[in-house]
Amino acid sequence: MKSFPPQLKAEVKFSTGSIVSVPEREWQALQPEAETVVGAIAVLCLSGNRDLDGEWILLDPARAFPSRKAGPITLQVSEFARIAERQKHLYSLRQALSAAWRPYLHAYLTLAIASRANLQDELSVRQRTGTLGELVCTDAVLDCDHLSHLREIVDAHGEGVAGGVFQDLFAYLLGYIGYASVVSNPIGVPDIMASGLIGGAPANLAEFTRGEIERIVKLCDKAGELDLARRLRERI
Amino acid sequence: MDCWRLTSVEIDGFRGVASKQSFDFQGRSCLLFGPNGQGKSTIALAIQWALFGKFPSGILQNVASSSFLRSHGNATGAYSVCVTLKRAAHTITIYREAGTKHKRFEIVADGERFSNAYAEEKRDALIGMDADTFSRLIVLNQGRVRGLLMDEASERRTAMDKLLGLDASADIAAEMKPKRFEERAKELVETGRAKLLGLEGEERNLTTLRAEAQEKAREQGFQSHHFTLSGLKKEFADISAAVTQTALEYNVTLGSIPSCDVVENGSRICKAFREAIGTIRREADVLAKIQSLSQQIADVSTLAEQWRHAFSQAENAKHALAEHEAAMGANDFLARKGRELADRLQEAESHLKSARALNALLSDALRCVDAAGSSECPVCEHPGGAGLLRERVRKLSDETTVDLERSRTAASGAISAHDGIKRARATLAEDANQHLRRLEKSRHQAATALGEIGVPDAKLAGRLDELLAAKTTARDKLTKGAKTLENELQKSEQRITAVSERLLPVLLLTTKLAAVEEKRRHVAKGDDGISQKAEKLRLVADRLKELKQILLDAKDEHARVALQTAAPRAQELYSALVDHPFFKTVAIDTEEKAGAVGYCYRVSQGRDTKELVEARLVLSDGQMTAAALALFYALAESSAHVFDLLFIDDPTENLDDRRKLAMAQAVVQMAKRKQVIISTHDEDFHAKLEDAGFKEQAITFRFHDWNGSPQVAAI
Repeated sequence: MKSFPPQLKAEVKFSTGSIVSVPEREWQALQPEAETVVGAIAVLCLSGNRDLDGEWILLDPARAFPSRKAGPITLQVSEFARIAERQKHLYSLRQALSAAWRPYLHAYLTLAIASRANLQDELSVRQRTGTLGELVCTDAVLDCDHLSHLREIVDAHGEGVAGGVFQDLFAYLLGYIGYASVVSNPIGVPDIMASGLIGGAPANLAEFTRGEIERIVKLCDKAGELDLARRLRERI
Repeated sequence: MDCWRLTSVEIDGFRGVASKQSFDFQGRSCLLFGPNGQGKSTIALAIQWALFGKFPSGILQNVASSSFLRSHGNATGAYSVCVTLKRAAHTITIYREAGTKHKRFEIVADGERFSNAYAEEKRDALIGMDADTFSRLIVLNQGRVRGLLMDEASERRTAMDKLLGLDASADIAAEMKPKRFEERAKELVETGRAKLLGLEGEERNLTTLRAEAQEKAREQGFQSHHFTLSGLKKEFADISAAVTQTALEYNVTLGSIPSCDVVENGSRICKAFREAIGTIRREADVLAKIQSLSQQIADVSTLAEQWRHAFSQAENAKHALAEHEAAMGANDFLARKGRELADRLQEAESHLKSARALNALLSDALRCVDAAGSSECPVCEHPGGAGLLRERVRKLSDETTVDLERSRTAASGAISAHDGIKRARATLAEDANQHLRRLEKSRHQAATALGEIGVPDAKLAGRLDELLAAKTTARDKLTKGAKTLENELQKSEQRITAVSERLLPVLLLTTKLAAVEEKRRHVAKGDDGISQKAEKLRLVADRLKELKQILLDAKDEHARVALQTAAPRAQELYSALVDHPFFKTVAIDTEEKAGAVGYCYRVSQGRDTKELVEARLVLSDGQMTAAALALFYALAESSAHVFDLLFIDDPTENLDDRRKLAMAQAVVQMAKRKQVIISTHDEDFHAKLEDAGFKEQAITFRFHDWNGSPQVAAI
């Protein structure tokens, strides 16, 4: 967690094609105004490419295209992935997102399929109460299941609304992995602003997501380790 | 530079020389002249064999060396060759013997002796040349230029490589086949792709199977959240809790049931649950309890019945006794009455006795009267007493005694009746006592069953009834409990069956699917080693290409240098040997074609013209032979090495008279610079050599009359 950007601005792009285009207005909104802020284009695609589908590709446009002044950024998804892979400053964040995304989506799938509004409400409440991880199970989610989950959401809402659903899911996924404050803008740029990273987390907690820490707290409570649970709760 | 010259050769039992024969060359040029089959070529072979123990490739490939080398008629004996070379003040003698078990190889260099393997090891260094170079540059056999005359470019190239000593590098270059590596790499990539497609197919099949399995599982009430290891664990935990609870309720101790860490353990755990249920069925105490209660109920029921009977019997007995007492009087009354009846009987018997005594007295008196015939009574002395007496006897006998007997009988009967009453009383009393004893026993048993004493008799039956009812209720409850137990066990069994038959297949398929996905990911990422292997093969192919190119470049360079060095002499010899009226200039160079160094042997009209023509297209066979020999000799002459020796074997084949003369002149010229040993059977050539002045500078050995060994005359 220590190596997550303290503040993150993100534009979420969902695509069922092989090309992603980010208008100038959107990527300009990701330009960092301070050292602690990182802007990222978060791409999720479902285009039939097994190696890329269903995973969040996180790319910092300011570092990827430092000399770009204007115009949209249009790239093949595979090119996005290739560039993103080289951005080491987002490595930890990518890893954490990758580890948490599948079970997290699985946990909120029914809600996501049923209603975006209900999903937003639920995620918002859980973010506030620190219970985003409550429904998330530890079982690995298979590729085929994960892709099927994504397809179910797209089938239920259509590609346009599904993009919004994925934006909400991604916003609170950031909350789940450790950002205390998450704002998802339905309109306007950037789509997501995340901050309030769990600070001062001791080194031994650095490798845990927020959801995992929540589970540890519960287990401590259950085992009667109340003091430890309290201390952990204070951390989050 | 001082170079080796051949001083002498001594041959024994080798090829065409059966008996020991020495050829003393003295380091001078020499003509070996004589008809075919006289052993001239044997000398060249003997020198090569003695020095190196082998011949260039192409000779003796399929023939055992001993059968080739041993002379005719020398079926089993040894054969040997001794060669002496000299260079300035240095002398080296090389001796090789074979044909028997004891092979021998020996070098004596300036007095220092080397033997066998060590000598073989030191040989090349001592003489400064290896076998291939020796056979290429020293022993000039016309057969070796034949390849240069072939139509096939590859054969010409091979022959030229051999002439230049580049055949090994050509062989190596030919063995370097980067394309094979590239093809293998392609094959591997295709294999990887096929593997990927296979895995994706497998993945699709498993997904379909899993969807079907999920559908069936859903029919049993399982939901999506069950289709995970956590779901399975939860399900097992629920079953475990239910089974454990049932076991606790029915006092059955169960062994531990293993936890489910991986889906593959699922079947084992289901089996453990089934065994646990079997254990509960076998060991549950409810059935024993029901049996025990049934026995207790039967006992209490019997007890209650016995009590009631005993109580009733006792009451009846008491009542009968009381009634008897009421009717017959109490026991003291009966005792008093008994005494009275006894007194009465005694009195009656006494009266009867008295009456009978009186009667006897009176009867005796009567008899006396009768006997005396007196009418007076002797007792009462009353006149007329006999009659009276008689009357009195009669009355006493007939009336009084009867009455008295009757009274006595009546008294006796009353006593008997009274005794009967007393017996009945005693019987009734005994009966009552007996029933009371039974009642007491029953009371004791009831008190034991009830667990308390001092319960009034009137309440005892009720209390027993209460106990019976309580036990019956308990038994009914237990019976109901047994049904409940069976229901619970059946419910658990159904759940286990559902897990085993419906949920586990889903999870096992998920596990398989996960494994296939993992494998697919590995293959896609190239972690399975195929793509790395393909990459390595491509790398090898690239490096091989580079190496091959380096080798070809080196070969090309070497060939070019050798040909350039030999070119002036080749031109000289070409002019002399071919003496073409039109194509006066020869040009030999290298060219790289299709990854191999090729050679161009071209001729032109003059040095300045650029119109080069391929020699074999414009020269006749004889001219081509001469041209090839020109190149061959030029290369041999121009190569720098440590031998000052050329052994030319039969150089005039296919040459016309004019070219034989030119060859003779060329040989004489060469002999001025080197030790030239030339063998020929050609009389014309011999004559032309003599005309050219070869005889003046050379020794001639004339071979004739071969009879196992040649007759040699040194001239």
